[in-house]
Amino acid sequence: MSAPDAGLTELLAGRLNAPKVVNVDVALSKWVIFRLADNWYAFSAAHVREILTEPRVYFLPGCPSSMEGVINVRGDIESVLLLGNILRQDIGATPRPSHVLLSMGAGISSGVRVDRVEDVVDLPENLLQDAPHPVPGHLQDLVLGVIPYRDRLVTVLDIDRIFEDYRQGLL
Amino acid sequence: MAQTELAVACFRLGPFRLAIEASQVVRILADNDEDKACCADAEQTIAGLTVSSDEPVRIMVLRQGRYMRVNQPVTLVKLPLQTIYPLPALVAVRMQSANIKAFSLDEDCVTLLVVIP
Repeated sequence: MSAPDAGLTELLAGRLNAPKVVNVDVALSKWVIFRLADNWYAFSAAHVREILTEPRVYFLPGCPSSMEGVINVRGDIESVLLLGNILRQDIGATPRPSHVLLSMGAGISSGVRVDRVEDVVDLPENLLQDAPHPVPGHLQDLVLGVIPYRDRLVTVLDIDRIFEDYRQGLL
Repeated sequence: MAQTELAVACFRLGPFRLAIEASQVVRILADNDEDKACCADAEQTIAGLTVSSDEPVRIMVLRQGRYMRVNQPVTLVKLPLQTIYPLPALVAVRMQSANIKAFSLDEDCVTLLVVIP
């Protein structure tokens, strides 16, 4: 035979004696999470000024293949880099890229073409951790680490380093 | 009165449209044998772009004593200054040719602006 159910008085008393939930301030960082083909990446949102959907891109001849062209954003001209090309990622089988992240890094402003922005999300800063597996050589300097998002790890890219290396012709 | 336009000579190199300040152009010659002989050292390539031999060619004589072989049509136009933009930073450093300093974006038409030092 089971113990008799507690009455309301006992239940309330038990709740009052329960340990208090204490709110702890955790520093949050905002991330822009996006995809290139089946790979998930993130930029710190502090470096992303705007997310543009299918802006008109004007091709400029004489530029590297990783430079898609320029866009006119309300009278300001910005370059557009093909991130998949820079990361040497084969995106040939994917649908046409659809978003441009208007970004600022290393004191340089430029658009960055990605396939699709998945989310803009606040996550605790301390979730950023080292990549659990070796990063390919050409990406080593461009990767800050990984963050868990839903049930996957998202690779966080260093936009300062990408723009600076691109400026120097290293990418 | 403030300047609002820039006179340029527009030309093509293959499928691309380029322009140079009209004040830099002295003459525009036909691409006949006589002119070819005197302009044998004409620039063949600008900004990595080469004149198309499938299109009519003219020889542009520049003030600096240089020549450029360009594709027709060659036209004189006045570009509104508000349509002329400097190259964005990453384009400026990675552009193949240092002679391209700016471009014009007018009615969805891109024109590269050439500066010959």
